[in-house]
Amino acid sequence: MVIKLPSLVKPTLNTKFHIDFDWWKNHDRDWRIHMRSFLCPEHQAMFSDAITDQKFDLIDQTTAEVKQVDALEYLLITHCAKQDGFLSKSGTLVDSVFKVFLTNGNQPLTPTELSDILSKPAQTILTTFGGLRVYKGIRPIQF
Amino acid sequence: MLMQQKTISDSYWENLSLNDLDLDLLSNYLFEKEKPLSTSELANALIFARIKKEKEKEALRQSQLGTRFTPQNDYEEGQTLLFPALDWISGVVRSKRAGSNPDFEGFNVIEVEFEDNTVRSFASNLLNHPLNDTFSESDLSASVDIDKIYQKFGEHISQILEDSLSTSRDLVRIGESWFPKSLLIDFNQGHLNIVEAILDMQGGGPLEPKAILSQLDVDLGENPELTEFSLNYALQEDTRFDEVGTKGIYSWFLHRLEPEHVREIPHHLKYEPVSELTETLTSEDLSMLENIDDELIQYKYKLDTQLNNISFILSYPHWRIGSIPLTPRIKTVFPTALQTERVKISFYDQDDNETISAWLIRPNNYVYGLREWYEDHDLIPGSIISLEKTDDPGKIIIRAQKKRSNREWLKTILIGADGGIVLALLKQSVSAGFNDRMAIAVPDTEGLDAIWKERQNKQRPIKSDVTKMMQELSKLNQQHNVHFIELYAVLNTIRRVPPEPILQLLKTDPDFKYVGDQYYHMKDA
Repeated sequence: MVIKLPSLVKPTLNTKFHIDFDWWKNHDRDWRIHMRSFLCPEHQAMFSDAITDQKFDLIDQTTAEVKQVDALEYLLITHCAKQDGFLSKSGTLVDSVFKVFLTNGNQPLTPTELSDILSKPAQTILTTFGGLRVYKGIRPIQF
Repeated sequence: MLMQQKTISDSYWENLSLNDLDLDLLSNYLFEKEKPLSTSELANALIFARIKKEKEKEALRQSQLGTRFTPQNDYEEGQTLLFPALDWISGVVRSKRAGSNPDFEGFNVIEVEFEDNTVRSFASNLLNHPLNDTFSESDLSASVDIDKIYQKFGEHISQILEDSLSTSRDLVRIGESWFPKSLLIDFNQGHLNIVEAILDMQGGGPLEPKAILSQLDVDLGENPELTEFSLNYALQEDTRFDEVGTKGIYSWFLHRLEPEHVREIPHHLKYEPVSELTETLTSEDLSMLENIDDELIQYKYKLDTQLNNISFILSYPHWRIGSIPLTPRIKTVFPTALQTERVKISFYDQDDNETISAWLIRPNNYVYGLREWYEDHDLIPGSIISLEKTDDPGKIIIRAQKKRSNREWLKTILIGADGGIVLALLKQSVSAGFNDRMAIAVPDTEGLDAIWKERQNKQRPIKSDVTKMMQELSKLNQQHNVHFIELYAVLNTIRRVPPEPILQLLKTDPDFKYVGDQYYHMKDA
């Protein structure tokens, strides 16, 4: 019997990473609660009691591709993530990278590209997210 | 289906050839502009037109494969779309629904199925999206930059243009500029006769077209540039006139008043080929050839840099005529010209504050007009002369290598009463720096002239002359070995011959033996 092993390709500085939302589902994490912590104060107050299930069509500004997102995600990406100070340099590396993907609509980026945005060493970003442990669903894109 | 975005590759420009449509287009362009345009301006117009044509072809090709997706349009189920922003993949619209977004109203969302069976959603009927403004013309526009193409391929395209345009009967060329023949201003025979008289009064010229026009009493009209171009063309087509300006500057001279040695190659510089070089030359031979200042050398060596000043060694034929050989190295300090065969230039002697008028004869590779200057400075064959560029391309600084005047032992050509030639080492007074091997004293130039004249109609076999001169030279040293450069120098006192045929003879004839370091020995010497 042949056991089929998953192909593991070691990520490099040119490997693209993103937030894998399936990872959140598989790990039974309530990502909405986690996401709510990233909202701006105005919208945190708005979502303190209830979270609506309404879906919105998020339109990619480059390709016009549409992704359906819920109201929380929509507000986070289109409003809160665009506020001054959202990408503060003082946060942890994991939070900072997570926020970058929120601001760009989860467009895949390489450690080198993330390094340019965050002014943190690309090798450190690769070492953090390229290992076996997955932080906040950030992992290489799967083809 | 994944479609490659079309770009114009380098090979498109490298393999460019002109067709009738291109020539028509350039001709129409000249008609529209109503002024002479240079080859480089026409090359830019051609590049622009070719890019436009390729864009149109690409747009047609794409329209045949499917409808280009832009968010502002609305699409129906079953329609095939091409996605420029996604590497031109194509897919079929499977469904459509109303879009939901608080920031945009009235748009739709279409679901598109691609060849790999993936289904992705896109916004349609959406007027406010950056993609609506991109790819508005053709996708080639994003990858094409005329300036960059001209920088990279301009020289090549200009050469193709010149080759093609020069065969056109409808266009005329003056220097770098082209113009439709039918739009030229007519200068009649009367005008040209007056120009001849004007130049005659100036000793033949040179005169620039503006100066000629000022004396011609011609209405310059609204387009003086075209009037000047038309005059240049009329003068160019009349064999009485010779354009003698450096590149970009027009200057006219009366052909019949040009010096004899400008109109015809002097006898001392004429070479009747005696043999082709078939022997393979060694690196030492090639290195030696690079250091001989002979315009007839066939070996094309590569110049590393553009030089601002050079020195050369005068050979007997050039000393006798008062000329300078235009070798690839010496040419670098002289001006260039596009079509002009004879260019009027001047030398400036800083020591004597003297300007010497001269002619650059491009087809035959020599500069003429220095006989008096050579005589005034007591130069001899073998003297070393320096040339230096100035800011004015038509003006070159000239000076003989300085040397304290004294008497030196020199090879001297003596001519017997019977016309026989003898070489002897005699003390001669020398006033400029010279090259030992090339230096020859010629006390009797008239006697030598008589020998050249006698040989004019009865050239002897080269072996006979080489043997004679080897015998004379071998007497001058105890080993009886003769250096190649010395043999080349003395041979050129009785006939014009470049180094290669001499090398060919020495390397192939068993009567001569190579003894190393460019020395040869006669077997029976």
